[in-house]
Order: sequence, then C-alpha cells, then structure tokens
Amino acid sequence: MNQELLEQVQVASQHQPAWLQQKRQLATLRSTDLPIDHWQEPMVDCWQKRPNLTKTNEQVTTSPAGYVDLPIFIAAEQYPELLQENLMEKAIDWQANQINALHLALLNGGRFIYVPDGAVVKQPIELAYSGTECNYHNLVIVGANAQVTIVEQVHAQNDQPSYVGTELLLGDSAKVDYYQSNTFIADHNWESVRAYQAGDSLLNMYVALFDRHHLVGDFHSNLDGDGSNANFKMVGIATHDQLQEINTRIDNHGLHTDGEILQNGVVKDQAVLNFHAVGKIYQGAHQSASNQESRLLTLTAESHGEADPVLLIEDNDVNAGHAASIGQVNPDQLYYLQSRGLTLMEAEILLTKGFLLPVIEKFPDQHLRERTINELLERLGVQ
Amino acid sequence: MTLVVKNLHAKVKESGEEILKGVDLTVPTGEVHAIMGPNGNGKSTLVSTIMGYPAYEVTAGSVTFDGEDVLNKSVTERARMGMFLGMQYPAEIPGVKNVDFIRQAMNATQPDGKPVPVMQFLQELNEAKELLQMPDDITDRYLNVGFSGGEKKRNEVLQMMMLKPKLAILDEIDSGLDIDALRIVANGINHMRTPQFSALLITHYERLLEYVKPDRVLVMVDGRVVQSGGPELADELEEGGYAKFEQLRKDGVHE
Amino acid sequence: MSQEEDKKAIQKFSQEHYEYGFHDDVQPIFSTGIGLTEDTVREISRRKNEPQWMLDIRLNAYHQYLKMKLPDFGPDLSKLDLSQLRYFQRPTDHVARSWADVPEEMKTTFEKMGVPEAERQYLAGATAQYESEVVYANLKRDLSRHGIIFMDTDTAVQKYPEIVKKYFATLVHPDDNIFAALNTAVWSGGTFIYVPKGVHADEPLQSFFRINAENTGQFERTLIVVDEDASVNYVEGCTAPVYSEDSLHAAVVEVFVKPRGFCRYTTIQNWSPNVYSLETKRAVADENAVMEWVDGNLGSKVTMKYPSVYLRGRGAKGTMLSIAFANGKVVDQDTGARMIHQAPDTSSTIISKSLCRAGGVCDYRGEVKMDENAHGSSSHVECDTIIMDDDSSSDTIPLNKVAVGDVAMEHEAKVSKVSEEELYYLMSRGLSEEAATKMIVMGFIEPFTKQLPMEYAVELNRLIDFQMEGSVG
Repeated sequence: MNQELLEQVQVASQHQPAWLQQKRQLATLRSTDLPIDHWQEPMVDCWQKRPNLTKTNEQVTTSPAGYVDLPIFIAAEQYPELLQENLMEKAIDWQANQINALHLALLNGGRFIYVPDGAVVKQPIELAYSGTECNYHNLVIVGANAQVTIVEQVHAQNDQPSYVGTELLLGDSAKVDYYQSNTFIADHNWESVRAYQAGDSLLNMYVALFDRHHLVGDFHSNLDGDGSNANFKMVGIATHDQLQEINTRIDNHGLHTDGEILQNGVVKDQAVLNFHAVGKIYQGAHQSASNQESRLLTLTAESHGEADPVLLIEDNDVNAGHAASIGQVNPDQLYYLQSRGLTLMEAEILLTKGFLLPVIEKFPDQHLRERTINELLERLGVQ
Repeated sequence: MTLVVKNLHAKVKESGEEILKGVDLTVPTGEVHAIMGPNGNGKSTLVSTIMGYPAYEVTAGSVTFDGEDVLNKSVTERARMGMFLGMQYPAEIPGVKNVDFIRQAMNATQPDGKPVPVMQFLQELNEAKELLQMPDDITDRYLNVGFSGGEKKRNEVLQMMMLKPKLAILDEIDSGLDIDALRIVANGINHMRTPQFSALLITHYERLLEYVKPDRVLVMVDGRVVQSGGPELADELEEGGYAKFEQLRKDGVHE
Repeated sequence: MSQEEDKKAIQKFSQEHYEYGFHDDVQPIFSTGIGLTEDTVREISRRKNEPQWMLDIRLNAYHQYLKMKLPDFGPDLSKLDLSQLRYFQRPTDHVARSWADVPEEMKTTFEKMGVPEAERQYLAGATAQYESEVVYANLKRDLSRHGIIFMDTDTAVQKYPEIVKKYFATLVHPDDNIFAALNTAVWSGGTFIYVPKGVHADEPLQSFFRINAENTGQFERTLIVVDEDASVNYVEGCTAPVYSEDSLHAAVVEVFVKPRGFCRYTTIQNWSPNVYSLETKRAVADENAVMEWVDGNLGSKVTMKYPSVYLRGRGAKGTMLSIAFANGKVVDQDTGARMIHQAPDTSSTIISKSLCRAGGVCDYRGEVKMDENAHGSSSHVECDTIIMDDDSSSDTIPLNKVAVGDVAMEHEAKVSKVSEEELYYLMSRGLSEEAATKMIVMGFIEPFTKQLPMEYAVELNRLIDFQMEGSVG
C-alpha cells in the first residue's frame, strides 16, 4: 500500500525542490510507524485509499511591501533554507503521528508568510482560500520585534476529509494576532494550529469553530522564551449529530510566561462538543501563570460533551487555575425573557449569543468581531 | 515611640521604578500626623515600605522607631516593635476565623510572651466590637472573606484596638465609608489616643480629620513631603485642592 | 530483641495452639510464608472456617488477579513486588517490637503531638492490642439494643452470612483493578456494619474499638449496609503516624446506602513513608440517599485512592471532602474522587485540598460522569493545591463528561504557593513567618477539619503544626 502511495507522492512532487521531495517521501514511508488513534483513523484510512495529490495552480501575485507572502511550493524554491528548517519541524511536528506525516506527504497547497525583524504590518494579512486541496498548510514566520495580524479563512471544497495546518513561529518580542474561521464540506476534518514562541513574544489566538461537520481541533503553543505570553480564545457551536473534539494546550517553559485558554461552546440537537485544555508549567518556569476556562452550554437534553481542563504544575512560584462548566440555559433567564414577549426560540438564541458574545467581544478588531457575530447568527439559523 | 524617617528612597522591585524620592518626616510620641496628597504620589508606598511590604525595595535613607533601626527587621519584628499598619486592601484569608486570628496575633505581641487570658480577651473584644458598632458574628466569620469595603476597614480598626500598638499607621481608613461609619471609625482611633500612642494617617479627603484632629498635616507630592503645617493646612487643601502642589511637582521643587 | 521477650510476647498475644510447633531457636514458620498461590488462598479460607461460597469468591478472584496488570496511570509502582509479600498473618506474625526499636522520628512526633503513652506503644507496633476492651464492651451493648451490627468482617461471615453474601463483592468486582482482585482473594479483617431500617446511630462508630492484631492488616475488607431511612457515621484511622511493616495496604470498602439512608465514612491515614496505600472505596446511593466520604491522606509513600459514589437512585447525593498532604521527596499522593450520576436529579460535590512540600507530589485525578439517565443532575468540584516549595509538583486532571444536556456541572481549581499577600498581612500583625504559614495552611484545610470529630481535629492541628516546623526558611 505504501509503495503505491510513495510512487504517487513522487510523481506529484517531481518538480519541487529536492529537499522537499525527499522529505515528502520520507514522511510517506515513515508514516505507518508513527502513532495513530481512533480520531485519526477515518481520515488516514481515506487518504491511503484515495490520496488527493492535485496541486493548486499557484500564481504569485505582486509582492507585498515589507514582508513575504508566497504560495508554499513557490516559497520552497525561493526560500529553501527557511522552509527546510521550519516546515513542520518546530511547531507541527510531522513525526508526531501518522496524520501529521501524511499531511506533509500529501501536501497540496498552502501559504508562506515571512515578516522580517522589526516589520510592523498594519493591514491584516488574509489567508483566505477556497479550493479542493485536502492538505493545506500555512507556515508563518514572524521575526524579532515584528507585528502582524493574520486572518485565516479556509473554505475547503473537497468532499474528502481535509487537514488544514497552520504553524506560527514567533521571534523575540514578536506580536501576532491570529484569527481563524474555517469551513469544510467533508464529513470529517482536522485543524491544527501550533505556535512556537521566543522570549517576550505575544500570541493572541481567536478561533471560531462554526463549521457544520465533524472536526478534530489541535491548538498548541510552546512558550519557550522568557516572558512570552499566549492567549487563546475560542468559541464553538455544534448542532445535529456533529462531533467536535477540541484539544488545546499551552506549555510554559520560560520564566514569567503566561498561558490563558478561554473556550465557550454551545451544543444543540444530538451534537457532542469536547473541550480538552491542558496547561503545563515546567520546573524552573518561575513566576508563570496558566489558566484555562472551558464552558459548555447544552441547549437540548441530548446534546452533551466533556470539559476537561488539566493543570500539570512542576514549579511552585506560579499562578495557576482552571474552571469548567457544563450546563443549560438558566431557566429563570428564559422565563424572564419570555415574560417580556420573546418566543422560546428567540429567548434561547439571545441567551446563546449572550454565552458566546463575552468571548467574541474580546477579539480586538471591530470588523472581525462583527464578522464573527454574523457567522454566529448564521450558524444559529437566524439569518 | 518616635518615628523618624530620613531621606527615604524606595523603588518597585519588579519594574525598578522609583516611587519614594527622599521622604523626611518625624512623628513624635503622642502625636497624630496626617499625610495628604494627590493619588499616585507615594503615600501608600511610604507606609507599606515602613512596614516592609515585599514589593518595594529601599534604595537609600533610614527609618527608626524609638531610636531603633526598622529597615533591617522582618515584617514580624516590626509588628512586635509596636507598629501596626491598617491596610487599604486587607487580604482575605479563607478558613481562618477572625477571632482566632486576633487572639493569636495578640498573644504573639504580648511584651511578656504570656498569652492573654480567655476571659480578658473576650471582654476586650466585646467592648471593641460595641464601640465600633460591629455585628456579633463579625468575629466568627473568616478573616475579611466576603467583607464589604467598610467592614474590612472597621475590622482593621478592631484589630488595632485589640493589638494596642504604639504606632498606628492607617492607609486611607476613610475610603469607602459612609458618614456614620466614618464617625464610628474615628471614635475608635480617638479611643486609642494617649500620650504613649502615635498615629500616621493617610487620608484622601479632609473629613476624617474633622473627627480625628491631627497635630500636624503633611503633604506628599511626587514621592516627597513638600509641605507640613498645623491642622489648618487641611482646611486649606480642602478648599484649594492640590493645584498649587501640582505646580511644585512639575517644577520638581519642594520646600 | 531477645529470644525470651520473643517467646513471652508470642505467648501473651496468641489465642490458639500452634500446629506447626514452636522451636526455641527460630521463629515459628508457617507454610504460607512469602508469595501467593492457590494453596495460600485455600489455607486462608480454611483457617477462618469459611463457608464454601466465600472460598469460591476468593478462588475466583485469585484467578482474576493472575490475569491482571498494574495500573497504567499514576505513581510509579515498579518497586512494589507483589511476590515478596506475606499474604497471611496471624497475631504471632506481628512480632511485638520493643519500644527501643521504634524510630526516633516517630517518638518525637508522638511527643510533640501529646499522644498518650498507652497509645504510643500501640501505634508504634510495640504492642499488638490496644487496651480498649472495657470501652468497647459498653459500646457493643448500646449498639445491639438498636439492632446495629458492628464487628469485624471475619466474624460477620460466620454470624450473618445472608447479609454478607448478598452484598460482598457486588460493588467492587475483582476485575475492577488488580488490587481489588488481590484483596478479594486474600482479604482478612475489616469492618462490617449493618444498620437496620429507620435506626440512627447517634455516636460515630470508630474502627479503633474493634482493632486488634487479628484484624488489622494489609487486605482489610469493609462492608457497610445502611438500610432505608437509617443513618451512620463511621470513623477510622488516626492522625498520628502509624508504623507498618507491611509495605502494601490494599483495602476494599463497599458501602450500600438504601433509599433515604445516610452514611458518612471518615478516614484519616498517616502511614509511615514505606507504605503503598492502594485502596478501592466505592459506595452506591439509592433514591434520596446521601453518601459522604471524608478522607484525610496525611502520609504514605504512595497513595492511590479515588473514593467513588454511584448515584443510582433518583435524588441521590454524593459528597467527597478530602485533603492530601505530600511531605517529602518519596511521597506521591495520587487522590481524587469519582461521582457517577446514573439517575435523574442527583447531585455531587467534591472539595479537594492538597498540599505538597519538600519534593512531594500531589495529584488530583477526578471524574464526574453523567449518563443518559442523569437528567436534572448537578455537580460541583473545587480542587485547590498549595505547592509550598520549588521541589514539589502537582497535576490536576479532572474528567467531566456528560451524556445529557439538562444538567449543571461546574469545576474549579487553583494551584499556587502560599500567598505572599496573605503572609505579609498576618506577619504585619506580629505573627512569625512560620506561624503565619501554619495559619494559612490550617485555613486552607479548614473545610475538611470542621467535619471531623473533635479529637481528630485537635490531633490534626497538632500534626500539621509539627510538620510545618522548620518548613520555613
């Protein structure tokens, strides 16, 4: 099986730089040795049977001023050292498990963004993409003291399961605001956003999990440098028989690091939403903080899920805490709203908005806030 | 029991920012001094530094109490010397009953090291509670947990009355109190006034000083004492505000 | 210890004749010796004169045990060698140690805690029987008047086989975990309590009263049945350190609380730091019944204990209040609770407070599960940890899983060191840093101590006091 796949990968990557060809082939061969779990299985199975290796027609548009923005395979030719060193190495590790290895092996599109040291990119960079790639990968490298806002909106159009991977590598004192709101049409999909942060860097991540299909989400940051901070804010909705499994983790290695995770999710019908949040403070990471808050609002009796925040603390000079709650809409509030003339449905929608809005309101960009709220309302079937 | 502060400089440990830029003041035994001044100019930092709050570091100057050096002593030792700081934001200690804590603190600061007999303790406690018009259950509640702002301040005064310090430093004990509570708290402070008792009060408004008449009023601006005078200085400030001191601060000049 | 003393002690404490003879120059040797075989299990049952059904249960569990593996989570159990343990002991095996052999630290702790002389000898293993016969006799009379049965489990098998047979191993099955299987095969001693319908035991029943060498041991099996509308309070253990030669304590506790019944089970363990305390404690609460676990884990080498309540009847309520203290480099306290909601309108509360210092590890492993029948249920979990110094660590790993939407589940945790703000406040009122630290620690565990019978609370106070000494600076 792998031999066949290997040949197909060789063909698909034949015009790419040698190093990339070798890496993809290696990933193909090694993949079956790597760990796999039941979340990965359906997708890995499908890809091995019907790998999608079509490449996008990559065209370079005019080069933006002050930073690099290229389709990923073109970047592989123009910036071989940068990509060779950083593509699926520091953040999303291609050797971590089978699905990651296959993601690299079957890579068929993506973007490379490089913001040089000191550059402050004022306009948000839109990683907007709508296409049939199954394995779409964004590599974002932000240099020391650089600042950038990234808005990722991938609309996968393939009915085969898709994996969208985004790596964010932040240099010393870099500052990144990252928004994400992806949609898919296949039944099962995978999303991974992983960051590596050097000293004093700041990553604010805002994710809207509004897609209508099964999803495994993997969000992670490694606070390696002293003084680095990561702030993850996520809102999600799961309806019908949707299953969303969301794994979030922040590792505090450096001194004075701060990892905050805030997740609010709404489940309806027979849907299931599981939030697993982990904060680990390694020994020596003095004066660090780790906080996770995972909350689930269940709108129907059959909707359900898990909220498991985990604290792994090896240092004592820390500030760590977590909170989780799973529960329904407050009946008193429902009653109050209805007594003022709202229908049950209207009241429910209002309360659902009220549950997710406090998190959305923390998105600093006005346009993105509005956009997310609109997506939320659309998702709830209100507009 | 004279408190002498000479050329005290202190900075915030974490940021390195210098807050106290050479404070000089003397509070002789038996006197009540009031420190006034605009917010953010070092009043709280001054009293916290005198009491050894770990976030601040002294970079120059000295503080002595009755001739004894204060700065080389731990927080505990300073309390046992007879100093008491009524805090602006008293910490909440869950699971520790108010009454148990007061008892233990009293026993810790007894000059002869012998614990106060139970009956005497309860009697004094009841008298103090009555004077401060505090509800009976205040002592059974956990130390400051769930106390309103006003309750916390009164609890500080309650502790002061029970611990009977030689020098009481009160950091904005009047903030958050309504008229009645203010009068009651003032009553508590006045109750302590003897020729052996000294007090240093930080107030923001002048009103407290109508009830607790100070012997001296000091004005602190930009980390230094820029003016001192008799009680009438308080009236002056009440009327004219700190405007003229703003100018002084901008010019970096002090009298 | 001389041969003469040896002989005297054995003669004093044994109750029966030795079938294996008694040699002058060696200690009595029994065929069960070290290690576990099917013969050992049969021998244990034979010596106790057990009915066939109990032997069958043991053998079945033994075969189950052979198939099982050590748990794949939690503390390191690699140094525990199950083949080296002595699986059957008689009073004579508890060789009475002389007071001179008791470790100094233990003696000092007793001193500091003000433990009475008589108790010291017992706790230190220097006597095998606590002189409590008189007190116990009075208690026995009171209880029997109400129909409350309170005895060791061995005797209960003989005297009340119908009740025991009905409940034994129905809640904790041998295939649950390897130590449950082991316990079910070789159990000996433990407490049996039955409270008839409508009866309320006014005073707490204390395990202390029925302890003697015959029935303390590594594999105690406790069975408590609280019938409808009845209530009981059971207290076991003590705060003073208990020296145990046995390195493994794998007790199993099964509690059945029938409709509208109430049971509170309080345990305080302070094992010496050579002990692996791996217990399985499980309760089931029927309609409107209430089950409360109060658990204090003050010392051991490794503790793995997750008392659970199966809320099986509508309106049932489960509570867990626990503290864990991991004091020292070898100590690993892995504790928590499990609340399984299987019926509508059930509620559970878990409050867990842990402290670790000097390299100790305290981990919380909890589970709140609400299945498809748990409509209208609620759960509240609060677990806080204070890590007192740089060498210690703590993990908080909760699992919160609900299968229906009309419920309320809340969980909160905090991990930190002793608050500097709080320390400063207390010290500024004249307390030394040590006294201030003690006060904060006592305040931290106060929700637990206020649920203890007075004597325990006082002892716990003194113990923490002593443990905290020299903990500062």
